[in-house]
Amino acid sequence: MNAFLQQHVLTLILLSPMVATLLLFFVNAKNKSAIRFIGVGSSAVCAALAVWLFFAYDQAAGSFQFMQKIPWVPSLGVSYQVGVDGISVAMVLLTAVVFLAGGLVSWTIESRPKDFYILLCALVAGVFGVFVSLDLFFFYFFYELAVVPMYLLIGYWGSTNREYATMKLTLYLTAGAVVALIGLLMLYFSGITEQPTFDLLEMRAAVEAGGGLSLAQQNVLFPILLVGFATIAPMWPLHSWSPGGHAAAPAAASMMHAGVLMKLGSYAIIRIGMSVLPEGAVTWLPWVALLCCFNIIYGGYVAMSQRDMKFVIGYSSSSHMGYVLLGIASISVLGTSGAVFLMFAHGVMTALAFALIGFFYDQTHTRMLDDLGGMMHQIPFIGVLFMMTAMASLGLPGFANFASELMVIVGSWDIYPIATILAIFGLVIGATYLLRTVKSAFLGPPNPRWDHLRDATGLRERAPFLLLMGVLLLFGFYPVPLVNLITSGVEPIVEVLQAAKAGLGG
Amino acid sequence: MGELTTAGPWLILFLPLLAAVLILFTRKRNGLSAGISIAAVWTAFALAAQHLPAALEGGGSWSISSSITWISAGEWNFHYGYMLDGLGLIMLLVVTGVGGLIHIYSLGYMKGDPGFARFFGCLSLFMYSMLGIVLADNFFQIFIHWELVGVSSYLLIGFYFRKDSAVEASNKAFLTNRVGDFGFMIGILMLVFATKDYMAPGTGAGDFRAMADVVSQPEWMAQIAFSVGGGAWTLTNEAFLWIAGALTFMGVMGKSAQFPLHVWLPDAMEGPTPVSALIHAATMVAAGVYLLGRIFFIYLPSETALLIVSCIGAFTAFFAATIATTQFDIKRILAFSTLSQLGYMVMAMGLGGVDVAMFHLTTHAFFKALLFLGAGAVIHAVHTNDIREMGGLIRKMPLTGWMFLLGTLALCGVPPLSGFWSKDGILHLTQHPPEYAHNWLIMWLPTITAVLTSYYMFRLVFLTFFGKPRDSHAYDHAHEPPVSMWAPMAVLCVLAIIGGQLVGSPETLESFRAVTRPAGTAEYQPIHADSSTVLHALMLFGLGAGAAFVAFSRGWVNPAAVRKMLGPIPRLFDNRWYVDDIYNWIVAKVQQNVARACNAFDQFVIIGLIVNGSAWTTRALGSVVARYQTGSVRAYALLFLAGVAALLALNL
Repeated sequence: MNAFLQQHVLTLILLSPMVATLLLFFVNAKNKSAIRFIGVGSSAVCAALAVWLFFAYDQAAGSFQFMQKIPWVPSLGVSYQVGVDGISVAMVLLTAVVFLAGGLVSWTIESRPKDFYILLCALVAGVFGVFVSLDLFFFYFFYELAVVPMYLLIGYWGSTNREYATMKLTLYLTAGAVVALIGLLMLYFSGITEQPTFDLLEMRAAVEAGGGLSLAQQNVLFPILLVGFATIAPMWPLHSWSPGGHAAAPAAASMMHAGVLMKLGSYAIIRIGMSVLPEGAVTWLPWVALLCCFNIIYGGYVAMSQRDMKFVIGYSSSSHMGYVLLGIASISVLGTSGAVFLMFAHGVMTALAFALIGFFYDQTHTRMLDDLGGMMHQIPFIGVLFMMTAMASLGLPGFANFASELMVIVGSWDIYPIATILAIFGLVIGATYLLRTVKSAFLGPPNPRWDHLRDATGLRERAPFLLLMGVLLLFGFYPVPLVNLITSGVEPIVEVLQAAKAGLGG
Repeated sequence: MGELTTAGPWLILFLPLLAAVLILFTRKRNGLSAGISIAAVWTAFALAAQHLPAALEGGGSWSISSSITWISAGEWNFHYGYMLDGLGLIMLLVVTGVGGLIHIYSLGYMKGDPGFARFFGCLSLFMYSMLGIVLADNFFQIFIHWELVGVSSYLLIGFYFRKDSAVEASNKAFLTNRVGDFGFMIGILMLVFATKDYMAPGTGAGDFRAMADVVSQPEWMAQIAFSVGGGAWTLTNEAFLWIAGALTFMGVMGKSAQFPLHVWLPDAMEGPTPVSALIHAATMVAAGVYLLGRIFFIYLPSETALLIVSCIGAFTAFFAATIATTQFDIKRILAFSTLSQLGYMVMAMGLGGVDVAMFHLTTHAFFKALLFLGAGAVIHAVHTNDIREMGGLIRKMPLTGWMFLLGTLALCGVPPLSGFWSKDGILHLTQHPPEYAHNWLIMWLPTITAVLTSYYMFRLVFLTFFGKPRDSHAYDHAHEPPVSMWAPMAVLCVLAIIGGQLVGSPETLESFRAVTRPAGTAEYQPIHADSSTVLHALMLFGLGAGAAFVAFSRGWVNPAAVRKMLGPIPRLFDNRWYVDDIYNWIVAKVQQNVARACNAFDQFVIIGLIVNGSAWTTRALGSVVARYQTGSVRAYALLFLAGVAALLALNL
């Protein structure tokens, strides 16, 4: 069993949601329990495999493990190649956790659950694919696979202004993807390897061997990839699709969207941009550090003016992504590991926030802060969890978000002091709007309008919330295992970048 | 026993957290929840007390420590652990001892409250957070617990979350502290980065002892910390240190409610009274003072930083005392009094008197907790906070009344009560300040403040406990509190009487000082209870209390007439010097407008112009491009090839 897993675990993780998608096609749409069983079952399998992966990955050995390579179109240099380093293991774990929670909160979807779970599983398959692919062709294929279902999920199950939101989201992400594709094709044809190949490892080997592209080429390629992938990250000023998309999406879609989909962008920047184009990254990342200040400060202030809770969390996500970008731009082991850790922590936290909002929105049919209020009296479980989530989001110690933000801040201090000061100030802004959100929605005198609200009861309803909160607390109190894992993946990348930085005389 | 000694502080730290977690599961059972919480805090007290003999014997050199790695990445190691030395031990005993008494008091005070178990859960969470500050061995850990204390205080101030005012107050407390922590974090980063290259590899980031070693090296002092423009403008570490120290002090200003970040503390009285006593008098607000003592090595070399600290402390002491003279809410008067006393402590730190500041912190914890608990007993009995609706209560609740009076006398520094020893130590310091602090602010304000203190406290006492009852209904229903409430008060009362003498006697004082005084600080005269000191103290007390007696007990002078005579000054005090109004203006006008402007930019420029604009352009282009959509596969293939060729050409 173990040997089999050693060899095939990544393919299994990838196949699990795909098989679920296929199976669901053949299930009678009226058979809701079978649909739920398959959907949640596949997420449980993924979660179990991801946890196994987390423990089985050998941190001391580092590098890519659990590799599998099957040539696909050898003449074009395309092969199915998967493998994970510390960064991808963390991301796979994140995806699995959010998938499991998202599958569970979607349990109560009454409208066409079959199609909903099909799309959810397809989306997750795409996300897993991106995180484990070491072949750029498949990387891009999975990337697109992850984006497309979102369009349908919002378009059919969405709420507020969904046609506009879904069009905007799709256009933005497609446009970003096209730019990224151009970048990837240019990389493919760039002659970085002797034979054109999509094999990321070969490209990296070439870079590490001292080859790689000329500085001029890198300086052209890196920004193209950056813009392409930063759209989904989302980096200011390309963020506009995201809050509206969050707001319109149904709970589980928001969870996947903010929890993992947005992380694809920063992941791709690290995995492709920084690994293969170190000099280009060194040249361009200071600009990222500049833009991320806008994410943090501007995103925070815009969040402060929102009245719709999902818009608050949506803009706050774009603000938090600023910290991720800052950590990436710092090119230090501490800061960049912190960025990856924050991707993980923010993914879990924001998924939890959207799940909680979704839970009461199903009953209140409004998320406007002016309409809500005093709900702590009627739904204390949801209220307490939301308060804790807000505390995690505003960077309270004890939650994984603080640990990761601290790493980013300390890691960036001597490289970008001003951006770091702004980032610390961002924590004040974050506290302002998050506390206000908690206050307006949950505290104050009870509002009789919400007396009919039903709190989450029983294990099935509470499990997704407790799972996500448990993960945040676990890695907030004891981040060592996760940080060591991430660091093992970040270190080799940063080493190459530091060398490039030294080479460029900066 | 040896193992217990090193494991002890771990237990002290984590028992309250464990209690808080357990209470999550026992919250349906009030008695059990309270029992868990109380057991945790008293066990912590007992564990701390067993170190006392060793600490007194070892003096300044005694310390134990232990730590684990919390985060390690690259060259960075963040540790989480404890360092217990004399300074920490004193604080530990104050926090767990006074805290423990307040836990017991809460049994009676919170009886029948629907959130009884939640209250004890929050208290235990607070204890964990607070003990972490006391035991922390590095800057990052102290910052972590600094924030945790902030959140526990948020939960406790907003305990009655049904009330909008309580929720507002809790938000205000959290945000004000966040502003302070903004500076604190920057200060920490400056200090950590300036010293880390001088530390042994593997040292925990921001480790207090390692940093103290670095700072004490003269060669480090002379290093250039910062240079701009190729050396045109440079900063040595010495100059750098006061900037970092001033920023770090912002954290102190937040937690210890020093001007101008004091605004949250009076509002925090929205919390239940035991919380006011525990957090906003005895422990949490003292954390800032404790922090100054803990990181005094940063301030020691920098007279500018010390001057800033002492001046802000002196001004806060005076400023808060003036406001206290015109308030009518019994808890708010005590809150402003707390601000004022914290100002004394901070000022004493700034004058180099770490030991005397810690001494005052200790005695203040006794009598201020007593006063708050007494106020709680009064509020419990008459169901109002307004002293204008009280009067003559000493006849209905003599025990509370006399204990409150003793606490007041201690606060006013009447010999031989505890406040005399510590407060007079501070006043003595201000009369003989170090060279850099020879200014009127330091030399005069604290003395004036002492007079004001007696005045507002006796105004409170006369209006509450003496004279005729002004609200007969409230008076008729007044009664003594139950034993669970007055017993802790009695213990505190005894401590408020003898606590100063206990520490203040020459032998114990010597060991107290040896234990709390950081190496390198100057020696100060012990407080001699000679006739001139006693007379001086009695004179200051007599002036203030006499004025209150004349105006509020005998009515020989009409306070309203005096108010009129003083013109706009009382209005300034009523309105708390308009500081809150300035902040409200900043929040409502500046911050909201920045937020609105950003939002408008997002709506109109980014979404309106760029996004929808490009959508419009795309549509327009689309109608043009549509003409080339011939549907012919061959044409598409040709275009595709041309594209690939163009890409190839670009890269060759």
